Amino acid sequence: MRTALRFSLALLALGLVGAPSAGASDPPFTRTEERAACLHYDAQRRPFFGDAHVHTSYSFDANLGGTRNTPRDAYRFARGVELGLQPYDAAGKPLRTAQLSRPLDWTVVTDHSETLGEVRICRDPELPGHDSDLCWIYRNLGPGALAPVAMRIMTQRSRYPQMCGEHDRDCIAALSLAWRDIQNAAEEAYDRSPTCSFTNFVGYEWTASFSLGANMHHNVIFRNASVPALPISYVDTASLYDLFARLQRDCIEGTPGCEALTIPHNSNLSGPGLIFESARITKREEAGARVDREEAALRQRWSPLVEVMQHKGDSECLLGGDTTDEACGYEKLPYNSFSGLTRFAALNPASDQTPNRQSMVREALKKGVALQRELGVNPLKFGIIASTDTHLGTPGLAEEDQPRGHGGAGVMGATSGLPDDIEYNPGGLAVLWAEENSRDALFSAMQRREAYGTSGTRPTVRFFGGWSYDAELCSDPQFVAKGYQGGVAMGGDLAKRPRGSRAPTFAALAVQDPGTEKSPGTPLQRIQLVKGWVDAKGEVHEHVVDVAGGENGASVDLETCEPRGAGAKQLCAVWSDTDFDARQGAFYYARVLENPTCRWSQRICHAAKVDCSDVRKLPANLAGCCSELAKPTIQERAWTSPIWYEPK
Amino acid sequence: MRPALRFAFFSLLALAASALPALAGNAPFARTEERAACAANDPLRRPFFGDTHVHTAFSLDANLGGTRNTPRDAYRFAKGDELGLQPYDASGKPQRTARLRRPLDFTVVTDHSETLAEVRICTQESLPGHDSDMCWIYNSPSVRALATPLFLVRLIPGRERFHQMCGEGDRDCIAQQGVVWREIQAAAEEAYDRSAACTFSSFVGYEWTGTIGAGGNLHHNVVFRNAKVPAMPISFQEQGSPMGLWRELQKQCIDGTPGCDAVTIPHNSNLSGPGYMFESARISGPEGVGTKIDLEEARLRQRWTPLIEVAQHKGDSECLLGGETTDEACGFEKLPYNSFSGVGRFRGLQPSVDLAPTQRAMVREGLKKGVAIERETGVNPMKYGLIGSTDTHLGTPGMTDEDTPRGHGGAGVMGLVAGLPDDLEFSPGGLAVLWAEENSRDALFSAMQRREAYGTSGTRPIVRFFGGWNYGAELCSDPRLVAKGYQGGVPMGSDLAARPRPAKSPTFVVSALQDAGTAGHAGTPLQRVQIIKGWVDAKGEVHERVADVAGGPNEASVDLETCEPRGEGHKQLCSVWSDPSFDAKQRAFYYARVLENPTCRWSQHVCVANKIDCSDPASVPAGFAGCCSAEHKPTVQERAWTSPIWYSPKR
Repeated sequence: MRTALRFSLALLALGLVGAPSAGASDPPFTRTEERAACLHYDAQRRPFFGDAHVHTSYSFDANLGGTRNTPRDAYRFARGVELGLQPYDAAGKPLRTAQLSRPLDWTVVTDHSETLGEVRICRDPELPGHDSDLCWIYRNLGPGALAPVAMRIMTQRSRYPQMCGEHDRDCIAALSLAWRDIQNAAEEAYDRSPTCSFTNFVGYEWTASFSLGANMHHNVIFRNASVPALPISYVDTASLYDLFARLQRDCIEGTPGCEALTIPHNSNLSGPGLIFESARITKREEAGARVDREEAALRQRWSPLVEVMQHKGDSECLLGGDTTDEACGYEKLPYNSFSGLTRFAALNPASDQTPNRQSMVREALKKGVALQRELGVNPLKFGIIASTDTHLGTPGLAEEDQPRGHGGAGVMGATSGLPDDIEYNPGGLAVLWAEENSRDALFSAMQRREAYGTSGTRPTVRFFGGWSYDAELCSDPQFVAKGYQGGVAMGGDLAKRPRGSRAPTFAALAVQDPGTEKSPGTPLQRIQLVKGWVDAKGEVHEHVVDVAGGENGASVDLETCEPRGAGAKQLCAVWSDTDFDARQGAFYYARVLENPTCRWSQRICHAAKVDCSDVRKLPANLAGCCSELAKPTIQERAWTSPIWYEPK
Repeated sequence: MRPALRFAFFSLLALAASALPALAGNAPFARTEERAACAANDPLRRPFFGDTHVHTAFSLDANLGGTRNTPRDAYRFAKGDELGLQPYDASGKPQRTARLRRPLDFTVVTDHSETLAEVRICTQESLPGHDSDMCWIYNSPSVRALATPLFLVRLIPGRERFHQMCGEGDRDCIAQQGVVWREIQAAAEEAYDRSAACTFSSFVGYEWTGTIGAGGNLHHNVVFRNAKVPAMPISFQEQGSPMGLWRELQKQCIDGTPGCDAVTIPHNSNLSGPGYMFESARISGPEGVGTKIDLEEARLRQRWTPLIEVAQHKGDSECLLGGETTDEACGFEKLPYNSFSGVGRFRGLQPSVDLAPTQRAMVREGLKKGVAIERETGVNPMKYGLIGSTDTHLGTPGMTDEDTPRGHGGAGVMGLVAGLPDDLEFSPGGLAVLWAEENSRDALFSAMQRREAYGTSGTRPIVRFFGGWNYGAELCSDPRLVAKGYQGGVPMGSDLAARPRPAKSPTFVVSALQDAGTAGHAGTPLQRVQIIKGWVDAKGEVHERVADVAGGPNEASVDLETCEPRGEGHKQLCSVWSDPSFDAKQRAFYYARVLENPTCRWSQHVCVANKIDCSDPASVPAGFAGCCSAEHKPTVQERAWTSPIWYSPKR
């Protein structure tokens, strides 16, 4: 029905086949490592699907949730190998398994740096500290012991002296062992042969959170194998600014060949949007601190991407204020910080947990152009990706029809019923447009923000902005070449406005996910462009417009989850901003919506014949089916990185 | 409306609570301590109201729940002083207070023996171990919520201490346990009225907090007769079963400490999983279920556990509907789970256990099992008299009024000022009533030992219950009811005398007076008196029957908008009842239950006072969501349960 052949036209349009282009011998990125040249190199770039946010048993919370898979296992999984998942029986046999229907092109394992040492000590009887009271709890009661360990480290920024020894040295020593293993696992899995079948990056998660569980987390990703001796944790650095400064010192200045970037995630859990406040703040009360030019430049340099969506919800936009965009009502968590999680709610009963718009990525992008207007530098110039944040060590496991749960943050040890809290989802994917599947090529794509995020499916999306694209570009087989030649790709800045141009033009092209034999992809419903801008008074605005496709009546049979109605295999549009005002800073990003499909929870709730007329009769592991968060359908989607316009 | 005067007549007539020197002279109990003789001594005995289950800041769960009141404070409260309650503001000023409308006559502070040292070490800066990782968790505002399960799990099911915290061989913790134990004794000594006024009795005690399986409760309170107590309390770390506890009490108290005597009182059988509380006391894990109770255990058990706590904060354990139990009044303050794993805070730690309440965990089933075992072995190991108590974790003994609930404390909702002060399924708890000649330790302790005791769900009705073979049918109108009750038979808690030849069946006299209440807070009239009989038949099968013997269904109800009672009830009920289906070959027990007219449950009082409107869910503040939950029962029927009177053939 959707054979590969039918896609050939689309692929042609996307520039994914043939057409050897100039520049193959002289790539537009620096080569910083020794490796074989890739056989496949495409100057017009190809989309590489990956996951930039992956936890394994090295993370305290994944460990606490029963995860046993290591970084090595996670990379095996990403490459298509089947993995066992908790719960495990007494003999150590996993009672569940999972396997990707399509391997990933690249992956970053990002375990929480703060607790790497403590987790190690409690698991390794040879290490000093293994006999401590806290490890007793770990050994005898299970990983629940890691909760107080993590809470101290992550809320007080201090370690346990009886467990860690004088000056924390036993914990730091164990941390370095874990860090070495993380690097080794990455090295083993990286394909340095000309095949270039798989790329990975050494990384970790810097897990700062401010009072009441406001999330400031950033994943740190290194360009290559040259990395500092130790990862940086929230214990070492109280603010994002300090993290940037330490990375500058330890990596750029301290380690020859080292390069890195940081990717914030879950702004939706950053309380009143603390993650988009000044990078210098160290607590909630400092919100509102002024951002200066130095900080703005530093932040733009260190955070080229933001994770817009993952297991713990979508952070794109929230209805309210000037946001009337209905598609924002998607995978929203009903709370705004970690203290809203059911498990943590009791710890902080008094906090206001209403989700708020300030913590949405769209608002940050608007704030960014407003700050640009003031400072001349945009500190919040984020390209957009998504990822899973898996805590099972299963990167890319984002399919709605094989949900396994989030892991540490999901439902522990479930073999039946809903495998996760109802408000979670299987997470998304990160897509990088690069010439080849190598660390240098992919890392450069991250740095120049030529990236998009998907909610877990694999539509292919191109997005270009310029001043003179032809209205017929969509039917031009040279779409991609002309896209690059006549303007900039997603993540870029519009070139200076040529005299004769009244308004910028954008070309967006989307091809539906081809899917797999067992699980065909879903047709597209529409492409939208989202514009945000700052007016002469410094006020910010947004506007959302359908540029291709539109309302199509497609739906889902909720009994079988079979799709109903037609959609588009491909959509394309060339759109000019008729309201363009050359004095106003602006950004534009594309959003592609697929036809509706069943949400992960729907199949399970339907198969279990859940009757919501008497919720009290439901087993606990199905109670979520009757929550208002158990929406039967979703619209999978993709978000491109914005293209920015700066008045001169 | 119900002035105290109106009660004077009934009290005098039916209870003969004063005068009548019938049995005066030799005290029927041994005097084991030096004290002034009580000015008031009544050989026909008087009801002394008390609380035998009280936690203070010395209990880890109470302290982590914000409780700062000490044993000394708890005794002050019992005697009528006002106390501050958590939450405390930054300057240490309590945001809530409480005071009893009627002081108690006696109280036992029963802090968890397992955690006495850890609490002290973590709360006193100078002590060795205070700088430990575990004390950091204990004292950190952000992690503190995890401290309760972490400490309890190692100390209680784990039966171990934290060795880094406690020092080599746990010696720092053992040393501090001794210090705390001495403070508990000193507080009891200070509060005890040794003068002739005999206004208040305290007992030295603690709670042995044995727990097996998935949060299966085997807790027993240990109550000492006088100031002569062993050097250390016995904890679950040292003794893993009730049998071990009793043997050790025999060794350390009876054999090892001259003048020492003690009893143990099990509680919350409703949380003992599938009824561990009524399995052999030798078991230390679920695998022991079904272990035969031998003669040694039966004797030891009967000697050490003369009483059981039938109702308290964490629910009623009398009986559960189902099987042959069709007794509607059993549907009273039942927890919706059967072990600590079901309690909100612990749910999720053991997600796979079956938490449905079980009938075998009920006291009535324990009593039936007791007579069945007696039929086989000749000794009844479950010969329990009945009391109620609070199990307060706020250090507030006797704080059982439904209209001023303050919550359970450590096990309730922490630090809440607005909203329901406790989890919906908890209750304000009950009281223990002892029939004794005077308010002294020896007199009260002897009442416990002979089970002349009853429990209430928190109110103060006065209940007499006698069993014999030839009570006159007119005894209820006889001013000498009490004297004749004692002369012609036995009071609650005893064994019927041997059946005289001509007697076809035993006769029971039960008399109940409604709670007199206090000025401005009238007691509630009585609705009915019931007698519950349990027996074992020739095949060894057990049965039960419940009979209304006085009063009965009436039209009484409650105005749920105001909590005002509606309809009439009885100021007094009395009945002489003969068992019409008595079979002299069958072992049996009989106990009386007195039901008051319905009143508002504690939660309804709070919901009404805060004008909660469940028809508009959006208007209901978060702390009051329980008011509108399907589980919320707006009314209760307060009640009293007497200790049983047992019958055995061949006596």
